[in-house]
Amino acid sequence: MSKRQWLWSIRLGAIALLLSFGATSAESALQINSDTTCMKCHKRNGQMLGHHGQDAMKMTCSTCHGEKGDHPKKPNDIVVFGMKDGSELDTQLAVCHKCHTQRKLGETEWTHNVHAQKVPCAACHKLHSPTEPMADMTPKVRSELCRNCHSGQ
Amino acid sequence: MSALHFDTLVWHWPIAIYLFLAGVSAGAMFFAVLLKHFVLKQNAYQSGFIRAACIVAPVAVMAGLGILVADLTKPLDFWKILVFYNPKSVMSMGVLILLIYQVFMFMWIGLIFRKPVDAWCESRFPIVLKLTALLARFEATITGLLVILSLALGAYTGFLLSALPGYPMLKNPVLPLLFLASGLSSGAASSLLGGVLMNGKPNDKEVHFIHKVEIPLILVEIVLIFTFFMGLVLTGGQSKMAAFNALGYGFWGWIFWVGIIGLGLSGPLAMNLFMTTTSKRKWAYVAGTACLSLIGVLLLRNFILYTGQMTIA
Amino acid sequence: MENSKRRFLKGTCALFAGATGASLLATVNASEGAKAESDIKYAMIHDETKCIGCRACEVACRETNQVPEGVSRVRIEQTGPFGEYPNEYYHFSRVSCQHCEDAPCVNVCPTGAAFIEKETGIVSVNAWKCVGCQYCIAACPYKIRFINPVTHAADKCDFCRETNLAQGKQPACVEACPTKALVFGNLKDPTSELVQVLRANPTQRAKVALGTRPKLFRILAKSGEVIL
Repeated sequence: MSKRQWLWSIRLGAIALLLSFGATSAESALQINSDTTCMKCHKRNGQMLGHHGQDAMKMTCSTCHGEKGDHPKKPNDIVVFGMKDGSELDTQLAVCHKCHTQRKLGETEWTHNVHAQKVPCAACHKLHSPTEPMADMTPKVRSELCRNCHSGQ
Repeated sequence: MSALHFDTLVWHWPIAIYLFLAGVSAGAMFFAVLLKHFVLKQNAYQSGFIRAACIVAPVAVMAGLGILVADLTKPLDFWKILVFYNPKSVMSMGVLILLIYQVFMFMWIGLIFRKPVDAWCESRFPIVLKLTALLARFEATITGLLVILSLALGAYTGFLLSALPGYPMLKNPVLPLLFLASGLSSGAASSLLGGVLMNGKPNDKEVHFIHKVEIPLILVEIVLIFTFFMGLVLTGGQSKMAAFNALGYGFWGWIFWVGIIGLGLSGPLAMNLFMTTTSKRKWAYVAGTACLSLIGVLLLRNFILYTGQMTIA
Repeated sequence: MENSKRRFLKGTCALFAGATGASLLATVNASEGAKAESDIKYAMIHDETKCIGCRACEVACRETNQVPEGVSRVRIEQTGPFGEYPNEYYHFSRVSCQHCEDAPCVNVCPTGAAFIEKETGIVSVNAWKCVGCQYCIAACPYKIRFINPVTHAADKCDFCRETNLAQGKQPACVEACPTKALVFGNLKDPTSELVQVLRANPTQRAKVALGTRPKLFRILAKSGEVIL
């Protein structure tokens, strides 16, 4: 637990550092946000400020969301992450499982095991925001999160 | 899980020291009464061994209580134990016994030293003479109650632990008897040790008497320890687990087999058996046996306290 | 000498007989008094089939009863995972005071700081009377007592006797539980939800063999596990 928190604080610290460099300009200095094809339209709702956007990770929008294809025309093959209006559950999970193995996820946090193949990762995790809501949760916030779905059974 | 720190451990070594000291005090008083009545009769106060017992008993019981109070999470609130009583609580009743025991202990000590006390007070505080005379009238009662109270105190140290239902090893009817027997032998040992340190002769008749009582006492202790663990094993379940956890291996296994069975019981027993009652005793021999006994009893208290808390029901 | 010995023996025998008789009478009276007790006896059910391990009960208890960090009155113990991916599952059981009818902590407490409230059957602690000898902590077979680092007194779940219950509310853990896995109520009221649930489900209590007669019931998780 403490190791995980420690790792998270390093990661978030690194992000904060990177962000502070970019704070002078309105745009983020992260490489991923200079992808003009996507940012032409998604400058407002597509800025990638989270951990996965670090330059060192060498990720682009399409690493997770897939190739542009017919987008923005519908239907298209863009992967949308989310609980309600996201893509098919299996499609969403396949993207995350490319890097994150179920075994390791289960070892870090038991709730991964019980939600496996039942809800998309984006039900809890937010990758675009500068802070990951699942990191350093207080017990109270954590139990509230459970309550959001598990109530009124 | 280490031998001295584990999750289910609530009471630490200060409690073992307290149990040890209470036992020493009770045993010292018990043997002092025996010595006076069966060996010395009059002028008992001139014996170094009686003097030692009369110093050891109050000092040990007070020090034990001091340790107990210091070990509370609210030491300054200790007076509440003396004000509020719970008749169902072994500890509460034990405190009561301790208090009454101390009263009778001091009365008896006062009677033992009546001659020198009277002589000293005659010209200075004549009123004290009236007091000692009053005490002397009830000598038989005081002595009898002191014997009963010292036995009760010795047994209480065991009942205190055997009242814990969560620990199968401690919840054991043999424990009070075991602690009583070992408490008495530690009292005898401390009287001997104190006696020879205070210029008591290692070949006095007091020493012969105590050693004569000590052999059966040690044998009884061995039988009680055997019964204690046989009872646990035959009870089965967690009790059996507790016995094996305690004796089987590791730090406490060594303490038990080498420290308690070896040094504490077999050592003094062998020395008492080899040294027949008629042969001459040397200073080092008497002090050595006494030290072995005391170490054995102190280790037994710690062993039972710690290993008893290792296994829960 | 012989005479005084005899007198002494007689005296002590009489004393002992008297003391034993008195204490026996006291216990008999106490058990008779218990029969004429009030018509409330609180108990709790933890339905492990409904518990999701969110620990909202722990959080709520800490807030409501101002339990300092590092200690807790209620804890959810988690075992697992059992089963095969992607259908793994865990078992959750509540670790808290069982409010025993014959509570070892109450029996051993030297000052009476640990007591059973006559009107409700709740096992509680009078923090002022407690001197911190920790006898109760050692005596509790369920190992749920602790020394409160702020008050230095023994502490544990009291069904929110001084907080929520006093305000006419359910205990904080029960209120907080999102899946209604906790049921609190009066064992003596046949119409209470608690009694209804107890009648409708097989329940278990921990360590009944010790004779403590605990009042925390558990409905075992439906899925089993292989344990020897």
